[in-house]
Amino acid sequence: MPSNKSVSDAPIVQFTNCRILRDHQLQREDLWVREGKILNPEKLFFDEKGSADVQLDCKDSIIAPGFIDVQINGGFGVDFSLATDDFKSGVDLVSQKILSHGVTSFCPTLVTSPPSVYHQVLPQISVRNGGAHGAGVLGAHLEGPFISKEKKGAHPEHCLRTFEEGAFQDLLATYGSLDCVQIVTLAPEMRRSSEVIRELTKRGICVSLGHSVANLSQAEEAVQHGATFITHLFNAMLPFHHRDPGIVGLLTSDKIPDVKIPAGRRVFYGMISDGIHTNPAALRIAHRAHPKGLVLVTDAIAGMGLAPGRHTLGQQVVEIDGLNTYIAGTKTLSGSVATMDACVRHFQEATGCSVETALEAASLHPAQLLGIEHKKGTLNYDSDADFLMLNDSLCVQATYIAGEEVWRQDVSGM
Amino acid sequence: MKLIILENYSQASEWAAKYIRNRIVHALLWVILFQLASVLCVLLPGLPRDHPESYHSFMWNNFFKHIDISPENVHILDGNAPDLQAECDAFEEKIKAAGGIELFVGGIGPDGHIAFNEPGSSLVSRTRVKTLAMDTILANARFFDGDLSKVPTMALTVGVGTVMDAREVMILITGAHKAFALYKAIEDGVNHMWTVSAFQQHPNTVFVCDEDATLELKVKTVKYFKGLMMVHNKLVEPLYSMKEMGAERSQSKKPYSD
Repeated sequence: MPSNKSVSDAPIVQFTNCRILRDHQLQREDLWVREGKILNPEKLFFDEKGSADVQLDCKDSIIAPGFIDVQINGGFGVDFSLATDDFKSGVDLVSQKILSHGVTSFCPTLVTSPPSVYHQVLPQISVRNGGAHGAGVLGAHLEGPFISKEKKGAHPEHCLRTFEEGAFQDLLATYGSLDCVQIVTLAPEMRRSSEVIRELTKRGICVSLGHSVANLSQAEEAVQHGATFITHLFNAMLPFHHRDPGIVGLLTSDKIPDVKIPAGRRVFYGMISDGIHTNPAALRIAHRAHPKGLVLVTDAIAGMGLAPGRHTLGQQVVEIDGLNTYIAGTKTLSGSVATMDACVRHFQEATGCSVETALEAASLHPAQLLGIEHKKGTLNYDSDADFLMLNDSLCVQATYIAGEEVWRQDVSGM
Repeated sequence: MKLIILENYSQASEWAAKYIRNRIVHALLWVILFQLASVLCVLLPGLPRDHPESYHSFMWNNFFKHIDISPENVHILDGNAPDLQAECDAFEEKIKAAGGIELFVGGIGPDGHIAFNEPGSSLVSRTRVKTLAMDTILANARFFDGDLSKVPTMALTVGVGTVMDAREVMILITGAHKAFALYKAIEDGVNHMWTVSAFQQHPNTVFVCDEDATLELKVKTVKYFKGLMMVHNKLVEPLYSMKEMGAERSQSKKPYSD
């Protein structure tokens, strides 16, 4: 049927027989896409008198916004903290492989490394849109080296640094360039962290608190200066104590009137819900205390997607045994081999939350954290058409970026 | 007149829907929908198209998005047009150009109005701008958070005469609050204070109502028409050609074949 479209001649696709996640609910509505964006069909109908060129039957799938992973150290043999000349093809490989996990945008994460690594690797990272080639790169997440020795976890001690001499200038000299950096994780108890946090926030970089022994007031001060994220809550920080909740106490800081956190500033927190990094009970407590701030992350390492054995994580060697990943020869957890869709499923099972909540923890919340929810993380009109088709068990059946199918589950397995 | 009495709102709706479906299939109708009344406010700017209470939004969410209809075949009076009377005249022309209205479907107000032809409207009126009665404004206030100042006071509407030109008229009336209007429409005389009564002079009218709407009618009237339901229900049985074709979706421009 010829469509009489005054605005554009690009083909219009109508996804029907589906339930879409919109306004925090699964609604029985069709999804309309044109030119890589979600289209408003009412406007199309009345203003343009247009109609669909292609109708696709989604066989009652759930359609959710694509997942966004803001902490992933590598996968499939690729280690983002390893300085190679061909860093780009490593990013390309991972970005292509994670499409099958439902990830449509991600932040390649670098663990604590010597400055030479940052200077070599960061210029090779560029923010780019996703597509058939792979998930979109939103920017780098630099986890360290400005973190606490006591909570270094899997990070190499000899590379830890402070910025007490030159504050922000020290940080800039260490990293070399901040052009494509989206998130920096640091320990706020370090001297002069407030200045650094303010400078980073001014540049639109999200500051995250992690690998730290900060107490609650140090953490709150960091939030006042602009920090908005907590890196893998519970892991690599002081445990919750009833007289000093530490960083974990930030989960309810927005409810206390005398804490001067700017109105509307929400603190988000990452959780690795692989069933190993946190006990399901801890996951539930955090979720119930602050459901709107929970951001699912994988913290996946190079060994993700590969057979068990030894792999690298920056300067360290890591041993994988099933779902457990330890620094070789120790019981120190170092990253995970979880995939994002498995994290979503585990989160839903462990907390008993609704499907909508589980899906939003991996899409809407990370988008809100990075301030990009106007174009990513939702199925609202005019946002980027990055979405997934899932079955009722929340297994990804197909992945779409900018309205194009970029991955589909092999049907033969059914 | 055929008076079809069903038990409740859902059944009345379903009967009417099946009737319309059969009429479309039987008459090989390409459905061209003339949305016959549209609300505007003269003192404030007309309701924008995407206002959640606009007819556009209502029709999209409750009808158009669920069916296969080509947007070129949908005509809604535009309350934001620069020359409202010209808009109304053009609407009449479009109806003529489409070959006239085959089937008009509408409801009535508690004051017996059809479309927005409020009490006192001429029974030979055409599409025009009409001031709304206070009753209607009050009834619509619930769509504007109860704020009377926000409710439009004028409307573009087809006239009684326009509807009388349709080859068939179907009126849906449900609820006890419409009972008196139904009585005035069919048991009393033709009267411009109850404009829907004009259809007593139309050769082909169907009134579909629920039990509650019959509360003001004579028992004799109700019994008579209930007795005819066996005959009337034949009008909503699935047609032979539909059973043949099964439940395929098709573009609205393709006529069903007999």
